[in-house]
Amino acid sequence: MTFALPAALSLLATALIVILFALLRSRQRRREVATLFVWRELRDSVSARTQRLRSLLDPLVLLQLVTLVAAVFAIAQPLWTAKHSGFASLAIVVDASASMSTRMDSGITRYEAAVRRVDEILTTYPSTSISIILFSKTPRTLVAGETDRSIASRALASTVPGWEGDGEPAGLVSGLAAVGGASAYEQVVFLSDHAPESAPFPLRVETFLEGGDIGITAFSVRENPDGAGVSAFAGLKNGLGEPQSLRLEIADEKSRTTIEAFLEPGEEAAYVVPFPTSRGSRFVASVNADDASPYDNVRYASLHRSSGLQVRWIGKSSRYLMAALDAAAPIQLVNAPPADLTVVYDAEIGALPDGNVLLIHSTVRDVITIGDRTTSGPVAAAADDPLLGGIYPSDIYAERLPLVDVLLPSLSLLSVGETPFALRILDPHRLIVILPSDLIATNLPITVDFPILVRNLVAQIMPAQLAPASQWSLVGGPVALASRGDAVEVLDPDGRALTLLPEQRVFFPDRPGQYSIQMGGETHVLSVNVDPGETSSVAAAGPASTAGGLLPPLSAQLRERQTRLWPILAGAGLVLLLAEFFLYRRSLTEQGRAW
Amino acid sequence: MQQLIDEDFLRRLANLRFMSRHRQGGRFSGGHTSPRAGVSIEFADYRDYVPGDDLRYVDWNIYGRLERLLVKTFVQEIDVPVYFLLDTSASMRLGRPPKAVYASQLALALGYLALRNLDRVGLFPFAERLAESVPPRHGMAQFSRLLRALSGIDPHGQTSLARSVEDFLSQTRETGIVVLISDFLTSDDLKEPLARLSYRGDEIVAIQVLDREDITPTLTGPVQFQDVETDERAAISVGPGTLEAYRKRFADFEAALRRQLESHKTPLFVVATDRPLERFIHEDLRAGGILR
Repeated sequence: MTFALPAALSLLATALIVILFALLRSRQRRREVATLFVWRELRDSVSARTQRLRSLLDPLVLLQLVTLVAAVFAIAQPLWTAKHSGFASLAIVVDASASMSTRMDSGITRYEAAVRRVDEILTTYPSTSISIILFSKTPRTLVAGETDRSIASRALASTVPGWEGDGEPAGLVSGLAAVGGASAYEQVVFLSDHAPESAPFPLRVETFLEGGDIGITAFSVRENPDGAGVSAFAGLKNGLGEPQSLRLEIADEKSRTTIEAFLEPGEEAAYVVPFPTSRGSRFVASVNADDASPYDNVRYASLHRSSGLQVRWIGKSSRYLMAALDAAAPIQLVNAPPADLTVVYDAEIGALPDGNVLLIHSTVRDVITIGDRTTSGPVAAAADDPLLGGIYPSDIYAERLPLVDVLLPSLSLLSVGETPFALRILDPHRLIVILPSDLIATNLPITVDFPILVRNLVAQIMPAQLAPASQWSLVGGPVALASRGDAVEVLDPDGRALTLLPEQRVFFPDRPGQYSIQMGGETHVLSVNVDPGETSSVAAAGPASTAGGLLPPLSAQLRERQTRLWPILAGAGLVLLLAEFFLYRRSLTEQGRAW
Repeated sequence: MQQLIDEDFLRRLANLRFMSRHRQGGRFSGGHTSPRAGVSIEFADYRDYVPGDDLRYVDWNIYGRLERLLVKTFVQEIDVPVYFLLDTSASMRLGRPPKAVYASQLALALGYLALRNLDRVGLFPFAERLAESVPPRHGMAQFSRLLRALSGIDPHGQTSLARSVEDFLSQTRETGIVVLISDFLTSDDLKEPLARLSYRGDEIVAIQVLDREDITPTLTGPVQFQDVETDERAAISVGPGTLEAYRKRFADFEAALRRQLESHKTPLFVVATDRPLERFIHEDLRAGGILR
């Protein structure tokens, strides 16, 4: 035994003061009495002899001396050095991120291998106090300060890795803080498929690297600006040791598209996959990988689309125009304003309607007039305008094109000779397009240019909406509901409603898939994916230098351990002091009772 | 007088009278009735006239009716000498207040009552021997003498009741009430002095004045006890057990003392000095039949 402050032992000399006081207190006092004969009889009694003995060995003085010795030794801070082959306490941090599901060559997953290693540690150090933390983006305490290894082993055996990504160093600190902090443990063991890039305290890292991985490392969908379907962006990675011929499939609710890919070992490639026929909002990317980690073979993305185009129809119906509109966007006919688009077909109206207007062979009193004289011939482009994107004017022919007078600033887009075939009113706030000729007086219904023209027109009215960034979320990450208005219901990928508190404005998806957030009459789709970093981490697996320092794996070896004895001594001193106090009080009480 | 006893206290005692079983009486008229017929205002009986009787006591009314000479007899009221034998040994200076002071106040109060009862009162302080005494006399002038004598008492010396009683008996010839005031804390045998007093026909009243520490000592730890009368010493470590044993033995001693006194028909009154004197007189002595 050694002392951190041996000089403090000199305080033992203060025991002399205690003894001196005891001697002073125990010196005989003189008392005059009327007669001595009663006392004389008592002097030689057994009780008196006992009292005399007690005066020589006063238990209170002995307690005071022992208390003093304990206090002095506590101040001197004795250290007890002992050799042992175990640890007083161990904290075991088990990586429970998605990548730990990767199956190794031996047929078990990395997580199962980590669990077996924990069992080994528990067997090797049976009397060690063990705390186990399941570590991912959300650290979870499994066992805290357990010395019964069977309990710890059973608790760990019942767990599986989740879908979350790797935890942060700050999470490691908070996870250990929940079980007393890293300083409370002799060793902190980290079992993972990769070494952390940084650690706030020394870690003994043991990694489980076996097993390759093919995964979709990125996936997003964007609506094409021209309104022709969507484009999907996907990243593919081949983490296996052999070249892989892969098939990437993108699907929405109704249709799907595929591309073939060939990846060399370790190669990572990005693909833009056209999906022109898609009009959906829920997208799933999948790769036909036969690997040991299926969690990243499927990815989810979502696209927020409008609920449809509200069209107010005035005048004669036209199935050609209706079909073209329906091809461009979901159509919802309304009888009264407001509407996204007002179609006036072969009619005469008193004034221009509000909003966007498509006038076909129609007049507006005192503003737009169609004459009786007509002309015919092939159509030519008269201006460069986005409305004409994808149109070949030369394919269009006008059989009877009337002259039109427009008393508003306008731009002729197409014409037959000098006669306008299509005009656009120059209004910066809305779109007004005029086709003076009846459709059946042209070959438009039978050309592909007509639906393109209508789609361009609709695209101008309904520009593509960018998907909010929050529509891509990670498992375990927070999803804010406040910015989405008054969320009333969240459905998980299986369509089950999640239980939300009335004021809950955030929720944490616990598995990948597409969640539906229903609010304000609209449904927003939230795609939740496993952290792509879980795939990329496979390549980066291996020890790295950490701030806290990485130590070799845990092994049974004789170690010297110094135990600080001062808390025990201080506690013992306190107990002795309390005992002395209560004995003193008791003796006072007894004397009081005697009087 | 103010130092030893105050006048208000005496005034509150004025309605009390000494009760005496003593029937022999003294030479003088007093407040006590005597079995002998005497001269007083209290009628007792008639008897036939015999020559030599005082003609003043012949009942002439009866003679007129019965022609028979009858003489009226009266109860003779006699005085009883009251002797205060006061212990002034060194042990009486202990106590809070000192036992000697308490005993002096008690003697003075009882003496006052006796003097008011037209009795003669004498004071006989004693320790090893009888000290200078105040012979028994009538009247309130005697009270002043008692007061002077009691004020000058200086307790010292050992107690020897036997020798003191011997001296007392040699100094007094007349029987009376002997009020023996002492702490009686002595290992001496009291049998002989009590017997001598009883044989003479004195009526003895024993009053034991004690300090509370005599009855229930409180000092604990190692103590050297010193007998104030003999200077003898004894070192004892006193604890709760010792105190308990002391109380038991003291109670035995008291019981033995009481038995000894009762064998001579002597009542024992025990009082601690922390008990108010007036309460002791009014409650204990009245209840004990000493006063009424």
